[in-house]
Amino acid sequence: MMVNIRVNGKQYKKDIEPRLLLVNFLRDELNLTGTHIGCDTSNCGACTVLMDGKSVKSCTVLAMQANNHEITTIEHEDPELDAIKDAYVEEQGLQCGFCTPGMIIESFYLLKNAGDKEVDDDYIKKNLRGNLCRCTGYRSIIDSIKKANKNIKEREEIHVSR
Amino acid sequence: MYPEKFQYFAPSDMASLEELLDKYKDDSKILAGGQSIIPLLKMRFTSIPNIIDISNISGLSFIKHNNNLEIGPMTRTAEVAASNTISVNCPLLFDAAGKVADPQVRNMGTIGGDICEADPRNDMPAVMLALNAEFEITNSSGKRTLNSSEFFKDAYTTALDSNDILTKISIKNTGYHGKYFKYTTLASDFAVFAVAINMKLNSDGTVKDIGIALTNVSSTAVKAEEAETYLIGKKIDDKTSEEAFNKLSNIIELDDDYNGTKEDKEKILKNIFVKGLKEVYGDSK
Ligand code: FES
Ligand code: FES
Repeated sequence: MMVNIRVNGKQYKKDIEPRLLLVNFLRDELNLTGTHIGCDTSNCGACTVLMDGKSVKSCTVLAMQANNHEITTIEHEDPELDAIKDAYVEEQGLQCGFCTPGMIIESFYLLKNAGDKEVDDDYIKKNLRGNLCRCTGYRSIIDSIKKANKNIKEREEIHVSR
Repeated sequence: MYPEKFQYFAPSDMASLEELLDKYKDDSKILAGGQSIIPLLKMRFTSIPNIIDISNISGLSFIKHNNNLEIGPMTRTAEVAASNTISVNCPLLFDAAGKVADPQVRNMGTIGGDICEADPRNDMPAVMLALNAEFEITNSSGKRTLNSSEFFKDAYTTALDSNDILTKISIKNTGYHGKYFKYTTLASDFAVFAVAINMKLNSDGTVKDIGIALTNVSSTAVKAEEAETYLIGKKIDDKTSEEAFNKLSNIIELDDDYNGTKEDKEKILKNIFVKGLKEVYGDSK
């Protein structure tokens, strides 16, 4: 069946089998292998991508369900996403790195949707409930997200004052 | 992991959906958000020859409050958990929706899918029972209304026929106090068990109306009718809430499993139940 999916700003039209999962569409059809498959059972969040700006587990979404929708993956070029990646490096928010693409996309989502909520431990932990990491113990991930939030806010202030 | 092969349809209006369901009947299933059914298909616990995605049909996603609270089945769980209308009129539903699985699953999953899949571990069935919700069911020959208490039959089994579509969820019991007490382990976001409580008091502090239902203590969500009847007209304290717990014995079937022994689980459930009743009672005063 034909699908039209916009991924990281680029339109793709492909003929696929209906049972193809979104994560396999991204990795095997488009060769965007940044999105990982961890558990393959909706538990770990390594496969997290954004669909129309909302985070979803791409191992639990059919590619057909993304037809005519917009997907954002870890490969997306965006200054805010870059700032989060930098913060993960600065705070050592990763060890083996397997969970990291999902962690970063979920971080991107939770920072964008914080509104007037404070990005504190509590808020981060609640919103990372669907992402598992077997290495870091999460402390450095939480610190990375706080750092990213700070960096993004500071950059916005510089923009305004200029 | 791949599901077995299936045909995929995404009708854009109700008439085409009804036609497809009439044609494929038991060989078809509606796909809402897919957060319950896709894992089952992937693990090949089930296989469905014809999958009918209803996300392109407009008018199935809404949250309205006039006299009743009305919710469209395709409303995403995350939208329920963020809705001001629901938070004001139906705190139990608001609290429970925010406790379903994790943010990603809530973004994709829908309230109607959670109800109709009727996985005994799903949260919405018990919430609907505690709220005394009514379901508008549509098929090619018309519409009918079913009360939640006659809807959940068994694990993954509801009163829906193969060509039925849940088209609206109505909640009359708004303006109550309520909470969803969900006990989970770290390894899974599914409830080991959970208690949904919806309560309204008389001016003298006695219970005017109460809805109580439990998740995952049996093959389907269960309404604690005996406990509800017992508590009406009473004040809630240690004694009455423990007595209410004793009235559950006919409806709960706990077994030893990897979450704990039957005895341990009963202790924890009792604790949650009694504390929960007292907490909602405290909020209602
Ligand atoms: S691979 Fe999708 S949640 Fe783990
Ligand atoms: S860094 Fe190894 S799983 Fe998270």
